[in-house]
Amino acid sequence: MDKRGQGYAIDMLVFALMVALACSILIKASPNESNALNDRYAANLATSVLQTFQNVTAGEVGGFKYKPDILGLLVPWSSGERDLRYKTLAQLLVEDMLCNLRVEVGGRDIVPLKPNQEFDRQVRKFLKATLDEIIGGRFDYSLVARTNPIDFSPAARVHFETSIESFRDNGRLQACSETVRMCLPITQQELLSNIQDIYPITNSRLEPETLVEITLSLWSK
Amino acid sequence: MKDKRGFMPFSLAGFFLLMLVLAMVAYTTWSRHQLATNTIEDVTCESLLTTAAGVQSDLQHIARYATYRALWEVCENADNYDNDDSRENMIECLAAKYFMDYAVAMQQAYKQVDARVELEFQNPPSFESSPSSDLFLDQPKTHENLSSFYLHQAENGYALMEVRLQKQTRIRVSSWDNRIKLALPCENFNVFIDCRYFLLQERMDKFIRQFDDIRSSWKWAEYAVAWGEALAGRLELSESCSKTLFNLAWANHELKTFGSADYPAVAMRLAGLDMGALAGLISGAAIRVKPFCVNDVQVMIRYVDGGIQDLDGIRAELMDVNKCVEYAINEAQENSSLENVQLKLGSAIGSVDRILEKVQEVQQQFQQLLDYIASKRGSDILMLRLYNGLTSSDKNYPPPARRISVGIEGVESKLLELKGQIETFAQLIQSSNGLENLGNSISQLYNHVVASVHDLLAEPMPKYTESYEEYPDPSTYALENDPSPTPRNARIYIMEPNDGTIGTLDATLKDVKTSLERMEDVATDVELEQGGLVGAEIDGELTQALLGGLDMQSEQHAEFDREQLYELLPPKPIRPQPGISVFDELDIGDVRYKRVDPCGRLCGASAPPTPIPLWFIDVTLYWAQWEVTLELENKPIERIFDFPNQTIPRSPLDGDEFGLAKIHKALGYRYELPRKSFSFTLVIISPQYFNIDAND
Repeated sequence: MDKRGQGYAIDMLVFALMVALACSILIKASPNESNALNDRYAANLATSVLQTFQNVTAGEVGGFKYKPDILGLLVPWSSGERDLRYKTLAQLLVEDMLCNLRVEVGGRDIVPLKPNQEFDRQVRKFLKATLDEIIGGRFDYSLVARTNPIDFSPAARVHFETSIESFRDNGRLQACSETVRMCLPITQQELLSNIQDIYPITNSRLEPETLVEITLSLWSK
Repeated sequence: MKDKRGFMPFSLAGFFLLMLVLAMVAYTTWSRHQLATNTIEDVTCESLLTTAAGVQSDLQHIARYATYRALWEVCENADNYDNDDSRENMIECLAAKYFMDYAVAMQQAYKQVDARVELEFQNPPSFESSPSSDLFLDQPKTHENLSSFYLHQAENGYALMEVRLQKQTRIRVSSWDNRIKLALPCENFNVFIDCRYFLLQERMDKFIRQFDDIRSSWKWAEYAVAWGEALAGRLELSESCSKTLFNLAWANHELKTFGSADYPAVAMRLAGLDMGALAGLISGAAIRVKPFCVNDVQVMIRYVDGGIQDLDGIRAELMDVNKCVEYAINEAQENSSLENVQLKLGSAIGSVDRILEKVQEVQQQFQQLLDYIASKRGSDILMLRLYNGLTSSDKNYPPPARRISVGIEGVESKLLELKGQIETFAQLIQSSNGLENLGNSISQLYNHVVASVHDLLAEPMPKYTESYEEYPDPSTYALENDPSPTPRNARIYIMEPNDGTIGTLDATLKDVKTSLERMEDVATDVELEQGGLVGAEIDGELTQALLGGLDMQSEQHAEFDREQLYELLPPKPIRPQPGISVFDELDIGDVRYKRVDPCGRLCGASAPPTPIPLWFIDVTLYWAQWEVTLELENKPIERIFDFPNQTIPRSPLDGDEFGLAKIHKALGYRYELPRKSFSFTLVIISPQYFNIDAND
């Protein structure tokens, strides 16, 4: 091959390289709009669901009743059933926490404690059914409600956390996560007094943050 | 052109192509960045609005819990307030105070947890931990630093709290980069409270307003039981029975007012008391608590009165007969015209005929009286006694009905004889030639007529006399008077037909009337004492619930007192509407029975009943009377729960091992009632003798 032939060959190679580079840049830069739209829809849905929780009463989504097992009492004249149809869904969650706050010392719940566990069970069941209906076929979800742990000694704290999930696979990419906060309707004095019934504590050591965080996370199916 | 090669090399073309692609990608990326930036701003705005709405909603939640707490505290001592307004004012003030406590804590908590959110109150007021009610009541609600709460009634007795926050209360929310800031005013909102506070208040007001109904129902029950026992021949007033009946009466008032009663408690209380009273009350539902009916007695008196008026008419007619005969005699003696004499004698005969008719009417009136009593006797023991007393006798003299019929028979016979004499004389005149020939006959006739009329109208002479004792009537009997009996004499005027005259008939009827009038007085007294018993019956639904309740062997829960147990597990209401559970606490102390009828006063509590002899109708009524007083040990407590709305999260018990646990409870409206003593007069007047058992 003479020199001219070599020049042509190099020119063609460089040209091919440029075209390949341009193609790869184009491919790399091509937008994935469908994911973005989906995420935004998910975020809107999560926000709407949380607003629904704050405004819709249990009665509007079928009603909510439970029988407390806290007392272990049986009396023939009363069923003991509580009908909370006028409470909003968020209120049910907050009251679930209020009724089931746990005192943990050294990583273990201290006894004797008789939390209102049946209420917790029924609230979770009821809210799961509601979430399945609202979110159901479109996304997988996880609703987590928790108080910030209230530490009143290095080893002891008051806390509560509950979660309602539609799946167990945490490996997938989360579409969105929205949080609302609500006040736990218990005053510092009341909380302190209740804790002191079961664990000695001084007022100065307790700085409760009485907020409840309700976080709804969605995953694409 | 010498060189035929291309005008540019491929590599240069490739370079241009690459540059073009890079430019295009750069533009697209920039454009997408712009789009993403806009989207983020949109999402941020939405998120901020959601957050602000969440805080607003949270404020409503804490207002609801503040109201729950205020309602609970005020309703626990509802009797501390003079009226509904002051109670509602206190709820509003306490709710405002608790709301501010929560709001201030919430403000600090948000500040610590999420710096983007700020709740802005203008000079939040600080309260003492245990505010006195005066602090709030003295403060005007329009104070600019204080949130104002106004309690309103919603449908079906629910409550609605109108919240007016301080002016310029704001929820401020900002984005993370502080580029977007929102400040939403939050000054007024309404919160629905899922407790029927107004229903509880209204029902408790009614319970207190009609509190005397308990006494009436108790009185009714005591009457029902006592009458049943008296008619069975043995009456015993026992403390245990009275306590049972009082418990029933109390529960009955609860049932009427609240649609339920504290039936588990009544069942438990009755377990240690005289259950026979309850059984007697249920089985004796048909017992007539009012054996005397004033109207019936008045009807009877009217029949007797009719007979007496007829006899008055007969008297007048007899005087007419006398006058006519006298006139005829005078005419005859003066040799007047024969027609005039005959006319007068005809008139006298007509009068006698009318008298005979009226005598029959007397008979009919008395027969109607007997028929009326007979129609009423059925299962009415008094009417039966009365009928027997009027129609049969095992004494030495005939009964009133017989005396009347025999008397009327005698009177008729005498009248017919009189009529015959006048008719004979009239025929004699007609057959004679002149009046002058009748000299002796005229005077003879006159003497006969005068004697007959005189006999018929003569003052009655008793044929039989009997003595008896009469105690003062309930109507005339005053406690301070001497209850000793007064001796009386009863007289019988007619034993045989010959005794029958207008006078004896009149006296007999008047004696019957006197007895009936005494009976009317007694019936009136009984009705007065029993006033208010109408509608005070113990409800059958209650007795059924109690019978159900008596079978319940509830477990003893030593860790709770009964009120605490009801807070946790209020009893299911007897009636579904309005759905109120009831708790009561009443410790009945002594029950006192003071015997106040004459025999009781003279001879003690177990003395036989005082007889009221209605001698002329051969009936004796037996009268016993007590002042019954029941004392409660403590002021009674009444608490009602909003059963369908067990919605307020509270500690199961204060200060125990439950610690932080909470349970939903129903709002309880608790009232301590001031009245401790109940009394009434029990009057038993039975036509049948009964024994009285009592501990003297």
